[in-house]
Amino acid sequence: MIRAGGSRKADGKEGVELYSFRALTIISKLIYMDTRYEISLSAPFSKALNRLAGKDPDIVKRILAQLRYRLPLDPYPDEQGHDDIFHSTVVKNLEIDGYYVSRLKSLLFDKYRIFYLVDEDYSLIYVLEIAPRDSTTYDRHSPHYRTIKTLYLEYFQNRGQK
Amino acid sequence: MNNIATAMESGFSVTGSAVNIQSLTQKFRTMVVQCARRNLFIAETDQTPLITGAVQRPAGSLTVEDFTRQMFPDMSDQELFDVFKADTAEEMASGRISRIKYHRLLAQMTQSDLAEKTGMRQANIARAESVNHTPNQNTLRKIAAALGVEVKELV
Repeated sequence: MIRAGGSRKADGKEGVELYSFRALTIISKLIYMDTRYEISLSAPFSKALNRLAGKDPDIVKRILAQLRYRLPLDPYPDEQGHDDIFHSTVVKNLEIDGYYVSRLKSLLFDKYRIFYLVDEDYSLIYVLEIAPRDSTTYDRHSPHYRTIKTLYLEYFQNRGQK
Repeated sequence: MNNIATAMESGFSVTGSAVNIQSLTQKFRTMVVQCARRNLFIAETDQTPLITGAVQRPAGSLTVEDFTRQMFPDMSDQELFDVFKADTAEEMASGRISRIKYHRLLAQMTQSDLAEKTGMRQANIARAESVNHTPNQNTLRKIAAALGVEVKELV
């Protein structure tokens, strides 16, 4: 089973170096005191927005405005509960498939649901996919689900490499 | 890489200013620099720089700023912000977000930023901007001052 986004185990010298590396990163971040997130858009998400812009450029502008000016300030759901990301079906499905998911979030926007992950250690938000809010949104066999799963796992497998 | 200055001369762009602090038992000098698709966290101890962490932006990804410029080259940042402002105003008008949150978002502050400016705790800011909560006058005054608005605009 692949576990993504979880803590890594120290293993001999390599493990000690890894812990030093992580500790110093955290110290650097604390000193730097930067709480803002950088927003990166995945290639599938960018392509989807390109397609959507051909049909409805105004909605794309609204999505980009939210990603740029709202998401870095409030990446987590508010307590009004109009975003049920912590218990989203996609997260549950990934867990059923054997993945440990701790940082996958989503943004409810008009007729769309936007999925992203938050990497607190590096102040990075990686926007994975946009899915229409319909019967396919949470379908485990839908292309959206496969894209989210692939990008999520790829990110954490490649993360932290020097 | 011999030192941070050399790194900068080699094409790194500094995204954060260098900070000198006396911390733990050693003097650290640290900064975050960007190189290609990587953010590097660098700490310098006793003149020996050490790359302490790095994250590579995923292959094929674009920053939201770059994507926006590619998609809408004629649109200014202000125009995009106006789109954000209009949607946020609609959220406030429909009661989905409070007036405090609306003004905080327009000021581009996080709850932590506002907490720091008001001297309040972040949890109290979160409660104050909940739509189901009416903060007291003292809290409203502090928040209004921090956001640069009148108290009446927050209620």
